[in-house]
Amino acid sequence: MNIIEMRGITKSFGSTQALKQVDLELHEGEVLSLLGENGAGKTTLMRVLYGMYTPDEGTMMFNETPIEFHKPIDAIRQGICMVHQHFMLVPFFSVTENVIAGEEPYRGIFVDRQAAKKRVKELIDQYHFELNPDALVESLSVGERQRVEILKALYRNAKILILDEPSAVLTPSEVENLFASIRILKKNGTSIVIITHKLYETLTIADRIAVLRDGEMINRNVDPKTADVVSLSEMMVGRSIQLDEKQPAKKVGEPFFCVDNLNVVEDGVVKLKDVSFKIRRGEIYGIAGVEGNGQTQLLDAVTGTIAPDSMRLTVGGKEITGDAHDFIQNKIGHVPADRMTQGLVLEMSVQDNLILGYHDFKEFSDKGFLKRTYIRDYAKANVDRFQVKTASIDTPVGKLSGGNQQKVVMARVLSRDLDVLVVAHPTRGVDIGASEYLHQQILNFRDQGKAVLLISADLDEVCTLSDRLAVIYGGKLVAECRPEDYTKVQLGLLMTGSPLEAVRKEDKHG
Amino acid sequence: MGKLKDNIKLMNLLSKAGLSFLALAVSLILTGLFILLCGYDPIEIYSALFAQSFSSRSSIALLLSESTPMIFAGLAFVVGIKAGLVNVGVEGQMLSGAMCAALVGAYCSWLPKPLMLLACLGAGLVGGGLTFLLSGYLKLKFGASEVITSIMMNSIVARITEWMCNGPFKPENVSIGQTKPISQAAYLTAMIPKTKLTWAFPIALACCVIMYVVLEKTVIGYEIRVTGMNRIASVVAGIRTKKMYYLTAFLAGSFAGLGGAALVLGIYHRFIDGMTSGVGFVGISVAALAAYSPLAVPLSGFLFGMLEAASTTLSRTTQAPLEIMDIIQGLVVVFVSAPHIVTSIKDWKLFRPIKRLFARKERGMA
Repeated sequence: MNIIEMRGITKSFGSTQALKQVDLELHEGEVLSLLGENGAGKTTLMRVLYGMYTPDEGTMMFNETPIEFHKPIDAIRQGICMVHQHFMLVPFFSVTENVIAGEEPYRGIFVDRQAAKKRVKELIDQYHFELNPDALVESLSVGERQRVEILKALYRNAKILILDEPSAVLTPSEVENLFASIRILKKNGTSIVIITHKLYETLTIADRIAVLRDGEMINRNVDPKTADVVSLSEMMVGRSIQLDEKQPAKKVGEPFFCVDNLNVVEDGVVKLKDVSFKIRRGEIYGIAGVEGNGQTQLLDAVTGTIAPDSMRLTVGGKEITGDAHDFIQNKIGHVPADRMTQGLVLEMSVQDNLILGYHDFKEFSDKGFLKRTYIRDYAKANVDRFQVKTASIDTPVGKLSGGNQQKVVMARVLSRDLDVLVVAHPTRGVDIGASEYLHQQILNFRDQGKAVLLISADLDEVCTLSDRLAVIYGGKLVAECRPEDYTKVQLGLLMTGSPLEAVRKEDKHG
Repeated sequence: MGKLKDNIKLMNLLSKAGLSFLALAVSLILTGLFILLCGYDPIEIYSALFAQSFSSRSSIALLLSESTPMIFAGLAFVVGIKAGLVNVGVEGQMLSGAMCAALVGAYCSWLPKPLMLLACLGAGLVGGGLTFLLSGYLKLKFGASEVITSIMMNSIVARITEWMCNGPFKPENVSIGQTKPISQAAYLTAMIPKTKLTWAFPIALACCVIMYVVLEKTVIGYEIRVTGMNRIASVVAGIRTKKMYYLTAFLAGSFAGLGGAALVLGIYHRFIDGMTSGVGFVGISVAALAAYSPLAVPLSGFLFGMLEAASTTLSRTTQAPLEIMDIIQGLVVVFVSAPHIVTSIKDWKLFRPIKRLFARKERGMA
C-alpha cells in the first residue's frame, strides 16, 4: 500500500526551478533511498512532504486521501517526522528532556518526569538504542545524538521517518549502528526515507532507490539488488564518471612543511601533546581520527588561527610565526573544518567570500580601496572554473547548497599561488561529480611539488588521497604509516584508542 | 547574466526599502486608530503635520535642522552595528562630544578663526569616539557586553557633564546649568539666514556618504563588515578583529560626538545641562528604519526630524497631544525590528484573492 503519494510536485525559488513535475510514492514499511547530487532537489522534495515548503503545483495523498501540509506540525501530527542534517538538540538537557520537549506528559501543572523517563526508556529498549535516558546530550557522541533525534520522532509516534544525509557526520562503525537501528525500525513497521548521495550505503540499506537529478525524477523504481555503483552514479550525474582511484605521488621531494613539538592546552585540558610531523614536497599527508581528538586544534595551530602553547613550524626551512594573516602571507592555504562558521560569511555575497583572507592582497586592492571590477571578473572566472551553482556572484553564499558552499571555500584557496595546502573535509557534503573534481585539484596541487595536510572524517577519503597518514587519538599521533599498511578495520581500532601492538596482533590472527 | 545580477542587488534593496515603508505605513495607520480612539481626527492631524512641515522656507529649515542630530545619532548606531557592536550609548557620546566642543570653543579663543571651528569639531569627534572606545575596551579586555557598558556610560556621562556645567565651568549669574558661551569664531553659521539650519546639516550628509564609501568600497570597510557578520571566519581569514573593534567603536562614537558638537556650535553656542534630550536614543530608531544602511540614514533622519519638528508646532494649531509623535516612533521601531509582523500581512486571508490574481498574471507572463 502507498502510504504517501506525491504527484507532479513543482517548486521554484526565484528564477531557479528546484523541482519539476516530480512523482514519488512511499510504500508502507519500506526503506526508500532518495539519491541525488547536492542541489538535485532531494531535500526540497522532502521539505515539501514535511510541510516546510508549499509546492507551486502538485498534489499529495496520505493513506490514499488528499492532504495539504502548511507547517511541519501538520505533518508531525500525521506521523511524518524529519531528522535534519544539523541536529536540533539542547546540549545541556538530558536525553529524556530533549525527547519530550514540546510534548511533555503532565501531572497537574507539572511535567511528569517519572512517566517521561519510563516512556523514553521503553523506546530505547524496544529499538536497542543503548542510550542512558539521564545522560546529558553534550556528553554524547555524534552517533548517539542522532539516535536521540530518531527517538524524538518515535516518541511522537512517527510512521514515516525522513533522514537527511544521516551518515554524513558518522564514523564507519557508527554508520553500521545506524543501519542496525534502521532495520529495527523497519521491522516495527516504520517507513523510512533516506536522503543521501552515498552509493555504497544506498545499496546496503535501501529496499528501493529513487534518483533525482536537477529537480527531475530520473527513475523512482531502481532495485538495489540489480543496480550497481556505476549505473547509479551515471543516473545521478547524467554522464559516466570515474570513481576515485588511488593516484600515488609521482615525485616526492625533501621535507618541506615541518611541525615540531606542537602542544595545545585549552582550559587546562591537553588537546595536543608533543605533535611532530614532516610533510615532503609532492606529498599528501593525511590525519585520520574520530572527530574531537585534536584535529581542530591541529588545524588551527598550523594555520595561525590559534596561538599554541609551543610549536616550531617551518616551510622550506623558513620558520613561520604570527597570526592567520602572517600564515596566509606565507602561502599557507587553509580550508577550515566548518565552512559555515569558520570558512564563510553567509550573509555576504559569493564574490566577497571568494576573496576573504586575500582581500588585502595587491591583486584585489589598491591604496586601501577594493578593485571592484577586477574582483567581479575574478569571481565570475572562478565560479565557472569550479562549477559553483549560484544564481549570480552577488547571491549571499548562505543561499547556496552545502556542496556549492564548499566549492566556494575550495575555489578561494586553490586559485591562489600557495606552497602548502591545509585542508579539512574537502568534500564534506559535496556530490560525487564535484568531489571527483575537487580531489583531482588537490592531487594536481600536490604534483606541482607542493605539500598537502589533509584532515577528513571520511576514512575512505583519507586512505585514497593520502600518500602517508597519521592516526590521531587523544591529541597524540599514535601511528604513522602508509595507507596500505593497515586495513580499514585496523585503522578504525587505532582511531578509537587501541594500542598499536594490539592492532598488529589482530593482524596476525586475522 | 548581467541582467540577473542587477536584479538581485535591486531586489535586495527593494525588499529592504519596502519593509521600512510598510513598517512606517502600518505604524501610521495604527497611530491613526489610536488618535481616533482618543477622540481626535487623525486625518486632520496628519495633514497638519505634513502641511506644516513643508509650509514655508523656515519650516523646511526647521525640519532639516531637527533632523541633523538624528542623522548623526542614526549613523553612530549603524556604524557600530556593522562590526557587531550594539551602540546604545549614542546619547552619552553626544553629551561627551558636546562638552568637549563647548570647552574648546569657550577656552581656546586664542586659536585663529578657521582652526577654531575645526578644533571644536575635532574635540567633539574625539570626545564621542573615546566614550564608545571605552566600552569597546571593556568588551575586549573583560568580556563586558557593550550593550550594558554603553548604556551605563549614558548615565555616567550625563552626571559628569551635569556636574561640570553646574560646578567648575558654570559662569556667574545664570540659573540653569551651562558652560561659558563659545567664541563666535567657533559658530557653525546658518545656511539660510535667520533659521536654525546650519552647516552641520551638509556635514551630516557627507558623513553618511563617506561611511557608505568606507564600508562598501575599502579594505577596512570589508574587514569591519566581515568582523561584524562572522567573527570566527574573520579570525581564520587573518583579519585583526581587535583592531577592527577598536576602530569601529571609535568611528561610531565619533559620529555621535560630532552630532553633539553640532548642537553646541550651531544652535546653543554653549553646553546646556541635558541638552541632547534623548536624541541619542532616537538614533536607534533612525538606524532601524534605515535598515542599517548609511545612505538611507538621512532619509529616515528626515522622517524623525519631521516628527520632532512637528511635535513643537503641532500642539499650537491642533488639540492633539505631543505624545502622538512618540507613539509613531515607538511603533516604527517595533515593526522594523520585528519584520515578520509586517511580512506576514501578505499571508492574511483577506489578501488571498489579490495574491492569486498576481500569481496568475506572473504565470501568464512566463
